[in-house]
Amino acid sequence: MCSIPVACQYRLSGAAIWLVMLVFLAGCGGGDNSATPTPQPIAPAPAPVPPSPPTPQPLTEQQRIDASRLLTQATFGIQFGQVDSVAAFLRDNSVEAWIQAQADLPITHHYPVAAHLRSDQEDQPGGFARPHRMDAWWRATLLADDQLRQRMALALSQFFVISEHSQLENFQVELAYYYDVLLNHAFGNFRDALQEITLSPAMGLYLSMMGNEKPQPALNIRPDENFAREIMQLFSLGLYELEQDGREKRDALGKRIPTYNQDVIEHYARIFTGWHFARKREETWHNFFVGVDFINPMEVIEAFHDTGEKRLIDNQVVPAGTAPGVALNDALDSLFNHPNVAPFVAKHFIAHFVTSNPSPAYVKRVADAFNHNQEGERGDMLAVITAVLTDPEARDAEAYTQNRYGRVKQPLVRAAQVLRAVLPPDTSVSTTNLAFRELTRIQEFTAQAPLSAPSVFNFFLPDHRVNGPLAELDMITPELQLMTSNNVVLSSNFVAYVLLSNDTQALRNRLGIDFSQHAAVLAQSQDEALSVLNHQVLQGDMTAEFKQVLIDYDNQIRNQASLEMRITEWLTLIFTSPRFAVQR
Amino acid sequence: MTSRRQFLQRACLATASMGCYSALGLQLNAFKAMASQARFSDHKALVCVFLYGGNDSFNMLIPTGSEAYAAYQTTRQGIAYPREGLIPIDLSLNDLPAHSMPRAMAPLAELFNTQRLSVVSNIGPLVEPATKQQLKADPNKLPPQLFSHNSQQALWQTAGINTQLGIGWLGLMADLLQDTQTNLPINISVGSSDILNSGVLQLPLVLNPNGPQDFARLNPSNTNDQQRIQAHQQLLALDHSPLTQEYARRITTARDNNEVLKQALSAAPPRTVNYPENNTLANQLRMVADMIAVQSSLQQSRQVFFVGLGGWDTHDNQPEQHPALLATLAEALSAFNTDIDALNKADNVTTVTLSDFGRTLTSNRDGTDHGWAGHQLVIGGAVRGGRIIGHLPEQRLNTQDDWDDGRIIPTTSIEQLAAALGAWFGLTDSELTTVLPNLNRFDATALQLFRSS
Repeated sequence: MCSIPVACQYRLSGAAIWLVMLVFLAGCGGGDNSATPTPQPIAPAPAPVPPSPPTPQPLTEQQRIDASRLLTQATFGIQFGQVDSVAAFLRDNSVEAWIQAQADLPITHHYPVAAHLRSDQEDQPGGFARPHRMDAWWRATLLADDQLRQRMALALSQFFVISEHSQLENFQVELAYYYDVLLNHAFGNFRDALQEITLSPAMGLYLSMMGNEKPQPALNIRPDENFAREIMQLFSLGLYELEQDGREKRDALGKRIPTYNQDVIEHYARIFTGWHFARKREETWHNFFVGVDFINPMEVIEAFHDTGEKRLIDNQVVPAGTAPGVALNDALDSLFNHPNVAPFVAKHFIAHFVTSNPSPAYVKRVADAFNHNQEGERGDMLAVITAVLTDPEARDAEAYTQNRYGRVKQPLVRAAQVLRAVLPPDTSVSTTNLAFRELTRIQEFTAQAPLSAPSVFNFFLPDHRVNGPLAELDMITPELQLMTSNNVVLSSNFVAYVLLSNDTQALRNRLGIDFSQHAAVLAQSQDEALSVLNHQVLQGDMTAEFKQVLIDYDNQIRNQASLEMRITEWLTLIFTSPRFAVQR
Repeated sequence: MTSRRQFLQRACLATASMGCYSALGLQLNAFKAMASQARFSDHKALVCVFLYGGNDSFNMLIPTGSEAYAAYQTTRQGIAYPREGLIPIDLSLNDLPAHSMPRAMAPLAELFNTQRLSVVSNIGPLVEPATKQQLKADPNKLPPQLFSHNSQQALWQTAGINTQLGIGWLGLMADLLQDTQTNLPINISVGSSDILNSGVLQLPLVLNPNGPQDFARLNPSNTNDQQRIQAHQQLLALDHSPLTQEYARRITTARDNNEVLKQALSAAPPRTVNYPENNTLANQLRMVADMIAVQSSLQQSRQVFFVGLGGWDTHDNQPEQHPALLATLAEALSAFNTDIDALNKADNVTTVTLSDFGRTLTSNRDGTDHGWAGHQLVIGGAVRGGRIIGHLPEQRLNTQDDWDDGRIIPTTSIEQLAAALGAWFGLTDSELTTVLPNLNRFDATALQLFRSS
C-alpha cells in the first residue's frame, strides 16, 4: 500500500491537456469519483467522442461575470482567458454540471510529487523536505484541472487541522500524504473522512491519539483527552448546540447550551486508547522510532486499549469488552449523527467559499443537503459543496450586492489567484521543471502556508470580529484576523514581487510569465482591455470610477512604456486594490 | 477623561447583547474627535507575554523538602522534574517551605533571587470567589467551557468583558490612556495579535519582529512610485462595501503608521544587548525594546505590548518539551530584562506572562491535559520581587484545591492581576471597574505586586 509509483503526473503534454479539457467542457457525468485510499497513477483518459458543438451564441457580459464569480469562489483563481470557455459551459449547462465535471476529474495528488522530488534530489527519507511539499502544493494549486477538489482540500485542511508547527515538522512529505487523504474525500462522505483522519498517523501524532493508552490509576495515568476534545469542538460538533440554520440554541435563561461536557470527553478519550502506527507492536509501543508508518491507518494494540464500559454523547452505552474497532466506529457514528454536524459543517464551507455572514436560511439549505442528498444519504460532501455554490445567495446579484455580503480572501488563495492570472496555462508541471521550488518563498508574503496553522484552531477563528463599522453591522470577519497592518503590506508586496520586481525577472522567466497574452488585449484599446480585466481578474467589480483611475494612470505612462509594462501596471493596481482583496 | 470612561461604560461591555455593539460604534467617530491632553509626565510600559497552549506552570515551582518532593513525585510520576539539577530560589521574603525552579529557568530564578521577579500563584478565571464545595453545588459559578483552549484564552484576555465582542482588557486600558495628540496606537503587538490587545477605539499596531514593513513599489519614499501611489490611493478611496472599506483603512493606516515609526526608529539608540538566536519570543521582545527606546519621540507616555510563544500544549513528550519551552521563555525574558536595564527603564517596564490554563497534575504517562489554575510571572524593577504572591497549592490529588484529576481551582482571579497591573499603570479605580466589569466581586487590592513609589 505504501509503494507509490512516481510516474503519475497530471498533465504531461499539450494533447493530454486538451483531452482533459474536452472531458471538462463536456461536463459528462458517470466518471468514477470514488475516493481511493491510496494515490493511484492516473492513466491518460481515453478520448471521449466530442459532443457536437452547441450553436455559437455570443456571451453576454453578465454571463462572463457569473463565470468569473464562480471561478473566484471555487478555484484558486482564473487563468487568463479561461472565463469565456467556462461561461459558455455554464450557459449551455449549469453550475451543478460544472461542479459534477470538476468532481469527475482525476485527482491530482501531492504526495507522489513530493516523494519523487525528495528521492530525486536529496537522499533524506523521513527528513525535513519542506520545499518538496510546498512544491507539490503549488504545482497542483496553479495548474491542476481539478481546481474545485484542490480548494475543497484546502477548506478541509482548515477544518480537520494538522500543522507542521508541531512534531510533524520533520515529516513534511508525510504531511503531503495527509493532504492527499483530504483530496480523496473532498467529494466523498463526511463519515468516511472522519474515520480516515481519526486513524491518520499524522493526525495521531498531531493530537496525540497515537500512543494514547488505557488508565493506570496507581500511577495517576489517565487517557489523553486531546483528540477526544478537538474532534468534538473542531471536527464535528462545536462548543454550543446549534439550530439547523446555524444559530446557537438558548436555554430558558437565554444562555448558550454546551454541546458536551468534560465527562463526555473522558469517555471518548478512553475509546481512543490503544492506537498506534500500523507496524507498531506491543513490545515497541513506547519506542516511537520503531515501526514508523505515516501511510497506513493506525491500528489498535489491545493491551493498551481501555476495555471498560463507555457512554457516548447520545447516551448509547458501549459495553465493556467491545472490540476497539467497533467502539471507535460507534463513537464516530455518534458524532456523525449528532444534529450539530450539519449546520457546523455548512457554516464552515459557506464561510470558506462564499460569504462570512450568510443568512440563517442559506445555512439551513446547506445543512439540509448535508443531512440528506438526493438519494437520502447523510454526509455527502458533493451535495454540500453543490448546495453552497448553487444557492441563490451564492449566485444572485440581489444577494451579492448586499452590504454585509462577501469575505476577505485568505492571503494564500489571493496569492494563488495572482499567480494563476499571470502564469501561462501551458506551463510544464513536469517534475523536471524546478521553478516551483522558488514559490516556497511566497510564505514570506502570505503569513500562511498549507498545513501550517499556528495551532489546531487554524489561522483565524471563525467568529473573529473587528471593532468599528463592521461591528456596527454585526459582521463576523474571520480572515481579517490574519490581515494585520503588517500583513496587508506584505500581501501588497507580493504583487510587486511577482509582477514588477527586477529581482524576480529570473523567476518570471523560469515560470514563463511575460504578460504577452495580457498585452495583446491592451493592444486593441483601453476599453477593450479593461472590460476583459473586469471579468478575468476582478469578478465584475470594476466600476466606471475604478476604470477611470486606471485610464488616467495609463495615460500618464503610456508614452514611456511598452504594452507589457502598461498592462503590468494595471494588473498591479488591480491586485493591490481592496476590491481584489475581498470576494463578493 | 471622565467622558472617555463614561463612553466605555455605555458600551455595555459586560452584557451578552450584541445590540449594544452598534450603539458603541455609532459614537466611535465623535469620540475619536475629542481632544485629549497628555495625562502623564512619566513613561510606563506593560508587556504581556501569552504562552499559547497552556503552560504546566505548577512545574515551575517544585517543592524540595524531602517529604514534599516525594509527594510531588508520587502525584506527578513521569512528569515530575528530577530533583537533581533544580535551581533553589530564595524564599526568605515568604512564609513558605523550600521550592526550586527547573534548571531551564535558571535566568528567571536569578531574577527571582535578585527580587526582580515574583510569581502570582494559582491564578485563573473565576466567576466569583468560591470553594470547591460551592462550585460543585452550583455549576453557574463555573466559568464557561473550562479546559477548552480558545475559550480559556478568551477568558484570560477579556477578564469579564463579553468574550463575543472581541475586546480585551489590555486594549481597553490603551483606549483609556491613549493620548490623542499622536495617531500611533499605544496598543502594540509584535508578530501577531489577539483579543487582549484589541480596544474599542483602535486596532492594535501589529509590527513585524524586524520593524515596520515597507511597501514595495508603492513606497512613499521612492520617487519612482509616486504616480502609481496616487492611482493606488484613488482606488482605496472608492467606496464599495464595508469589507473593502475596512481593507482600505488598514492599508492607509499601515502607510501612515510606517512613516511615524520609521522616523522614530531611525533615531533609536544602538542596542547593546545580545538576544538569544532562533528564539521567536526574543525576536518579538527585541522589537518591543526598540519601541520602548523611542517612546519619547513617539510621544507615548503609556505603551502596552502583546507578544506570544506557542507550543505549551504538552499532551505528549512533556519531559523533553517543557524544559525546552521554559528555556526559550527564560532566555528571552532575561535578555529583554537586561536590555530594559540598559535603557535605564527598569522601573518603567513591567512584563507579565499569561497562558490558557495550568495543566493536570495527573498525566497520560508522557504528557498532561488541560487544567484550570496556574502560576504566572511578573517581572520588572517596580515589582515587589522575590515573592510568591497568592495561595500555593500542594501538588497532591483530591485536596480542597483539586477540582478533579489534578485540575486546580484558582484562588486568585484574572481580574485581580489585571487590576494590580492597571493600578500601577495609572488607571483610576473607576477606570479599572470600567475595564474589569466584575472586579467588584473580588478583593481588588489583594495582590501587592508593586513597590509603593
